[in-house]
Amino acid sequence: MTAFFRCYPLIVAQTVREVLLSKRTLLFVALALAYPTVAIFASMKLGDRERIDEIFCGVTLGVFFQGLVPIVSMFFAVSTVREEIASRTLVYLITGPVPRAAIWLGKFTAAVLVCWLILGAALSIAIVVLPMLGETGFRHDVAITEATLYAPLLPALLAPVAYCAIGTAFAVRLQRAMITGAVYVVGWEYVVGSTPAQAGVRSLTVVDSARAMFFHGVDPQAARQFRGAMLEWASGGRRNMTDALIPSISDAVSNLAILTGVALVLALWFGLRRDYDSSSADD
Amino acid sequence: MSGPTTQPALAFSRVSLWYGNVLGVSDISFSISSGVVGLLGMNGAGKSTMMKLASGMLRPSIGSVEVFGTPPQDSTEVRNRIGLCPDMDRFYERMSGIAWVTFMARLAGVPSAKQKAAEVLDRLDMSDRMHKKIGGYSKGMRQRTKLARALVVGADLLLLDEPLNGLDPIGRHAMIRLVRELGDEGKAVLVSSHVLHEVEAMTDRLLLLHQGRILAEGKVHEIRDQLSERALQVEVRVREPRGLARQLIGADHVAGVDVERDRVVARVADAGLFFDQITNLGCDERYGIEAIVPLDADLESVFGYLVRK
Repeated sequence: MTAFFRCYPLIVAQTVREVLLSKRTLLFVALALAYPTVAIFASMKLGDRERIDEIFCGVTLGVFFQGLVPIVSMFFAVSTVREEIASRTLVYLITGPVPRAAIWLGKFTAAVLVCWLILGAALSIAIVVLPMLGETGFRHDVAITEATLYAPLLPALLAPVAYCAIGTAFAVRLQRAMITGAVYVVGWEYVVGSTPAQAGVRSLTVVDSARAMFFHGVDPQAARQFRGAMLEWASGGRRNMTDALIPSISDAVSNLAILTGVALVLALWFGLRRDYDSSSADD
Repeated sequence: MSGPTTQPALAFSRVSLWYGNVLGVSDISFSISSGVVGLLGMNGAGKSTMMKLASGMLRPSIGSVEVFGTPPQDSTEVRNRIGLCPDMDRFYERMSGIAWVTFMARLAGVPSAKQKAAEVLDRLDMSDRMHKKIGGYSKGMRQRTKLARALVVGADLLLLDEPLNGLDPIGRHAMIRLVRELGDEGKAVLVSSHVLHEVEAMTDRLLLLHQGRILAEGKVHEIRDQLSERALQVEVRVREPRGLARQLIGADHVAGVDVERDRVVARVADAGLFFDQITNLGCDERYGIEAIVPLDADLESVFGYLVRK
């Protein structure tokens, strides 16, 4: 355990440094900035017809939680691990006195930190700028409510952790992990995450829990239309259904904890047992 | 090659490894306690596979690999005693040499890691370049940086996979001298190469590897002695080659003789008897024997012979 605690923070710090200095990270920073840009632009465009809470909720759910969070998290989780393997620098770690658990958990933690940094920056810009629009009365009658404004924080904190754990498990085990990650985001998170709640399978997605936490966090009155649309969608159009079909915050947190835990156990299971060769062809 | 009382630094016991259906190494057994041992084989012989097995990067399909009595994959303490210098030269390219070596030393729990890294890099003649980014290093500098990583942890077992690759003549000379020094310091060093004279310059203790199998092991002259069925070629520089050839050709221990203008090349079946005879003939002034030179006791010819055998 001493070796683990010695190596783990070193690997986290080194990986974060490598990722932040990578040019591809800039691409994802630019992509993340699309969210506050769209949120601000939509508020300015539609502010005379819709409440700012409604606009913020729609953009945050559609662009941030269903788009940015899974894409950014999956990319960084997979790339931090796969680049270490593909570049063969992993050889120095696995042949040194570094416990493999420290390698994989270090990579996972670094990916989470980078995601929090990028997604947090995007969310912060939206949170800082949108109230200004309301306060100045710019095409809005009332300012955005605090409850709605801060509703994305909890899911934005937890969802990247789950996605990164899943991405790490893919990357540790699979050579084409980036493709698998993309298929997972589109095929599982988008498609399965959009099945009627009654089917139950939706609770196995990260996006369902993130949506639920966000749904329960927003102001019920200020974002009434958004909540109504969510309920109708969650129930498959049955208006007599209640929000019981949307998991409570504690259930959503539990779901994410289970998904994260299972993915990390699988990542360690594969990562501790597998041989990682330093070359595809022998000498 | 192992000492009778000390625990071997590295011990392979009937090790075989398959890559899918392809055999990497087959039934390898040997041990090293200290000093430099050369792992010699052509490309594809399985040298890097053996390095990977020794470092714990790969697990054997059959048999066991032990470093100081423990499989390297089972113990971080044991891996702390291994210094691997792999054949590939990949790094975190944005780091400087000293930052990378310091990072590796910190992972290994080396106290005063940065100071130790600077000392090792200085020993490897990298002191003026260690603060530059690795991405701008030449092949030779990268080789030395890899070796610095192996040395900075104070490893007792050094696994150097083709350490002379890419080095200029001065760098090669320095590296050869360093490897010999490490062996003299009592470290166990397994150094691989496919270039015979390189290995010969570093050590006379060899493992000859071919197609995943150990062809021979021991000192160069011991390996040579194992080849009793092979005719040794000896050149005798002489004033009267035809007369000497007549004397030699009738002897049972001489398999054949080639006569040239000022020399005789004899194919010798029993070296002991031949050298007794040639010593006696050397006293006879009629032949004028000037020099006796074994032509193929060097490593390259031994290896070539063993591979063909």
